[in-house]
Amino acid sequence: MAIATNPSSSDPKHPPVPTITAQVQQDLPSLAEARQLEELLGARPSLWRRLQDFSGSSQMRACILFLPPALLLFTLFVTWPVVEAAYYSFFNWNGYGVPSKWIGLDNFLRVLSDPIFYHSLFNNLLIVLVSAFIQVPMALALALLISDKSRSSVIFRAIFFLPYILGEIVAGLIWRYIYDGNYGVVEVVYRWFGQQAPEVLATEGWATAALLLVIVWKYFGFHMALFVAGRQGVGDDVLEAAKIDGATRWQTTLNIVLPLMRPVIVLSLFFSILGSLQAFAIIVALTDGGPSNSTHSAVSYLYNFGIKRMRVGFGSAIGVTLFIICVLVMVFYKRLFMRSKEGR
Amino acid sequence: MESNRSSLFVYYRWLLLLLASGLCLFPLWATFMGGFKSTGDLRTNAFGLPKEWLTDNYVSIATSGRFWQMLGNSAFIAFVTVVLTLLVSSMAAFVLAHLHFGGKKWLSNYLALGLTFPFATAVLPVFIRVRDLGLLDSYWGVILPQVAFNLGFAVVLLQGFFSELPKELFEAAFVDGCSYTRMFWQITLPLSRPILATVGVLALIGSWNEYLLPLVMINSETLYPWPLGVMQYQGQYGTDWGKVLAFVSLTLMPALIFYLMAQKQIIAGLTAGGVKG
Repeated sequence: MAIATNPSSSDPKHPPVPTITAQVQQDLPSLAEARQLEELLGARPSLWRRLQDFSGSSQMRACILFLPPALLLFTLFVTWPVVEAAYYSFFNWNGYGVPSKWIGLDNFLRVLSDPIFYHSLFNNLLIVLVSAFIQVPMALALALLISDKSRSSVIFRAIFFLPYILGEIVAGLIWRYIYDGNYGVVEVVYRWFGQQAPEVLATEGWATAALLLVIVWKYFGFHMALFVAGRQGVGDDVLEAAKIDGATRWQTTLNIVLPLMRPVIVLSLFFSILGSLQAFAIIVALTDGGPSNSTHSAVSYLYNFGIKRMRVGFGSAIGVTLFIICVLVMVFYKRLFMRSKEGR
Repeated sequence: MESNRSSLFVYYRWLLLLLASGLCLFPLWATFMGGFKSTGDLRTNAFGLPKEWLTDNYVSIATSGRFWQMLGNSAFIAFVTVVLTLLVSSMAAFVLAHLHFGGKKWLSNYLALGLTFPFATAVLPVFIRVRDLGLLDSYWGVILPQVAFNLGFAVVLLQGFFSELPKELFEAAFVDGCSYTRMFWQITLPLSRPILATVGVLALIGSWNEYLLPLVMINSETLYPWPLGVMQYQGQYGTDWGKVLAFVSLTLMPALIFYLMAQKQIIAGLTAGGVKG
């Protein structure tokens, strides 16, 4: 398609280039004229010419003033550390002096043979699954109910979004209280039925379920807000037309609104994956990875077994593994689902 | 019949929404009320109002220097992070949006790399870098990495907005002999308030709630931002929930007040940030 829209070389409006260039050379034009001509012909000025124009211009001053802070900070604290992590991961190093004890791939082998690491990754997967099959549908349903501009809808949106702006630490601690088997809300509820409450956060399985519930509670409002924005982006004229054609509310939602909202749904799942890969503080505040390391996420595993014990080499190996997983997941997800992004 | 079904729908809609709101707000309600309750009251009466309003917990925390100090620490870190994020990222985004030079695309892609992986993956080398720079156990050890990690989304958002500003303005300014530096301060920034607010809100809430970075970088209790402070307090008082809940309630007040004041802008900002980033 790109070729078709390009003016073909035999276009009579564009005279062949060589003759004009030859003319210019014959007439020995001034520098300014030459540049004008070059511009007219759409020729790319030489690198030297571009540098000449560039240096001393206010363009260059802006570049020299404006770019380095960002590039410096970003390289110093974001990209270079990733490279360093890759380097450190081949050493047994406690962070003091220079890394000298080269141990090859041992750190990686230790990470990849640690059942706790796999369990942590499995928890990450669980978070994504719960998000995909419970949180996102729930948020979507609620969003469709409150995407209009009425006063009550605005208030409901504000309520549902509230847990999202609270710190993860706060969310974790609040629910730690709720789950507490001696004092908490769960305990009170069980006592109504004359039962002894389980120690939710001290029982494997229960603790994971509890964590998942907290994550749904804290993040569904964010997904809902995304969906509200997406729903409001669906033009009213389409819905009007459907109504006139006699479509029911249910039919309209299922056959018109949802397909049109597909990009937002894809995006929302993308954020679930991203969020799951970053889950940390909420786990520390709620369970601290326990009982018996059953509720770690990838990042809390990294913190517990790498950073806390200052095992820089081992921690870096976890970090690098996590980095590779992230990049792979992101690239795959984008390839699979986000192709249509340009069409939005 | 249609109107009958319609009113049934309205009824169920309200029921569902009220139920969901209840589930959403109940934990917060239980927390606020818990701060007023005695231990015995907490055990038997998790849902209702306190039988006896005990204000000791709230008062003793709100009058302690420690509480205000950690809020102050958080506020300072968040404020400087937001200002630096906005300044550094908008300068870079300006160059990337308005100037033309080789390698520009490469540079934007480079900065967008920051969006692809969580900060935690490289936190050990960042720790060592901060230590070698002598910034460990200082505000700057938290602020600088935070700003650096914000640059990814900030530059993407700002560059998108900047490049859609009307070209004629810049051409006119150029003809009048205005330098690019002045264009940035006098044209781009004043016209970009909405997107600057979005980026600012994202950076502010991110920084205010950040836990991992200060956990790794800060040792002195006097420098603790509130997430570290509240975890330490919880560690100290364990299951003396009355105290802990009061502390938690007070620490979430600033975020709550901010949210109540600018709720619409915050929701719009955070979701717009998500959609475009």
